[in-house]
Amino acid sequence: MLGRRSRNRREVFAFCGFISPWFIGFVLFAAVPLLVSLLMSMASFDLYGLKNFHWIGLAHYRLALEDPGTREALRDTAIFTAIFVPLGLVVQIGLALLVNSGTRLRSVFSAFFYLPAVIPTVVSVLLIWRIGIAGPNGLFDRVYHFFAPHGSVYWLDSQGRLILILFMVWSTAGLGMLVFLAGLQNVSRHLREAASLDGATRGQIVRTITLPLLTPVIFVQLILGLIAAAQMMIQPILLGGAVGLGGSPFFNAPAKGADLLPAHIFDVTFIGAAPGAGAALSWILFLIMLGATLVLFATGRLWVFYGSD
Amino acid sequence: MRIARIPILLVGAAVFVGPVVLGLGHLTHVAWGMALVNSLTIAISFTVLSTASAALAGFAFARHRVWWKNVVFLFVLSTLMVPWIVTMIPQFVIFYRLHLINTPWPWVLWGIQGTPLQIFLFRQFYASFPRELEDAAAIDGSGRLRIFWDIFVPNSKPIIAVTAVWGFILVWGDYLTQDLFFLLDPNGTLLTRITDVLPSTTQTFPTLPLALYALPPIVFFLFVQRYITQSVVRTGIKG
Repeated sequence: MLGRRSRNRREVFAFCGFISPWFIGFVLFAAVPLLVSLLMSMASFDLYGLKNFHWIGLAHYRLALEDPGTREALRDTAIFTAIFVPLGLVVQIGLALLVNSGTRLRSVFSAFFYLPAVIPTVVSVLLIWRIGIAGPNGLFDRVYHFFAPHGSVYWLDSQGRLILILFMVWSTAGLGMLVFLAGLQNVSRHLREAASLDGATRGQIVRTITLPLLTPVIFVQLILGLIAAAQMMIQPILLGGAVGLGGSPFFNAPAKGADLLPAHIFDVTFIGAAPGAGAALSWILFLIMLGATLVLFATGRLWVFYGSD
Repeated sequence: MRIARIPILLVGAAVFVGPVVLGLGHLTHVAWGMALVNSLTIAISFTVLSTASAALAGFAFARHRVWWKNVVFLFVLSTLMVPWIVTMIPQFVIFYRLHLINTPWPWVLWGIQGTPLQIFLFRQFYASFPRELEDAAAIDGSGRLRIFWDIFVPNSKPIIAVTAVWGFILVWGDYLTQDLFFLLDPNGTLLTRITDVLPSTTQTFPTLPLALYALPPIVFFLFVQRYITQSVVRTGIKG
């Protein structure tokens, strides 16, 4: 028999072997690029092949914060996140409560709500949202004409932010609903039944029992909502108002009020071919993300309820 | 007799498989053939590799008796916090330098890492297996790899299906990465080709190709739909 010590050594060895594919990828495609991007943000060079490389220190950061385009993108991102994340949470919790009450058709309905997340973003933005919902004679136009027969609204141009928020709520609701559904399975049925026997209404039960027990899930979903907002790149570009040069969606200008920071960074880096400035902006985005997450963790203990079970 | 059987089988296989390979070879000369080949290559290689890598890592995080494994798991989750654009700028510059632009290689390399959600799902799934199964095999002298392959893998078809479909959907719909990394390739991928022919007039899109492009992920999703609900709802987000 092997000794205890050598068994432990073998266990650690096996563990390292099993996670090594992930670990190699983590180092090469997460840790190293993160550091390289920090170095790149302090340099100026060509997008293709690192030519004309000069160190310029923190100039990109200073220029970025002085640039009105970046400030506008920061403001748009803040407004978008402040509306999208809470609205998304409410929709997800609502759907989860709805689906959870009808047990027989639960999986059918959760499949319906999950479907938008399965369709490639390009297809759902172009076909469903640009044409079907926000396009001329689309759903919004018809409803609007019902109330104001002679007015007309260019939804994608004038209400770009609203359309973007609605699109994101629609496309992320399914996964969030599943996570809340999972959380609801941990909410004790006895507790709710006892409250109901004591004469509590459905609304009271949700407010005083279900929601407090769901706060850990709400916490996780808040962070995932922030992460989703920090990945908003293709959506503002595809939903952008006018399609310009060459017909490629790359040259769509995001609608007014919907030029989110990630899309702005993409534009600066790859269309403007300024990877150094882009890297600096992307680090600003990353630091804001980290800051927001730390604030959430710090305030979490005030309102997140980890049960005593 | 037994020795002769293998060459005959090989010749037989060549007769049946050969034309298929030749046919696929011709496909690359058709207008959209190369785009289709590129799309399938990146989707299949990423799906297979990321699922396999996530299964291994998820198993290790769920079953190995190593006290610092949860610290490492925090690093898995922490990669979620890094926005795509932060790591993509240096990766584009580096892959360009290495002449890996316009090839499926980046997706193969990314596949090896797996994705945090896939690793998380495998970890939650494997954590619910009874310990006795494993202990009995360990007494028989089986190593970790044997236990994983003989006991855990055959019993994890639902979670393999869910994570594989999730990986496929991730690559299939990821327009920006494909457009960047096939930037200078006139063939591109199916997705970049479909959007390339977007006319400058805003409202007339190539409706049919776009709609058809959404079909594979929807079909795969419908196949594994009941497993998704089960696996997410059952495992919960505890632990």
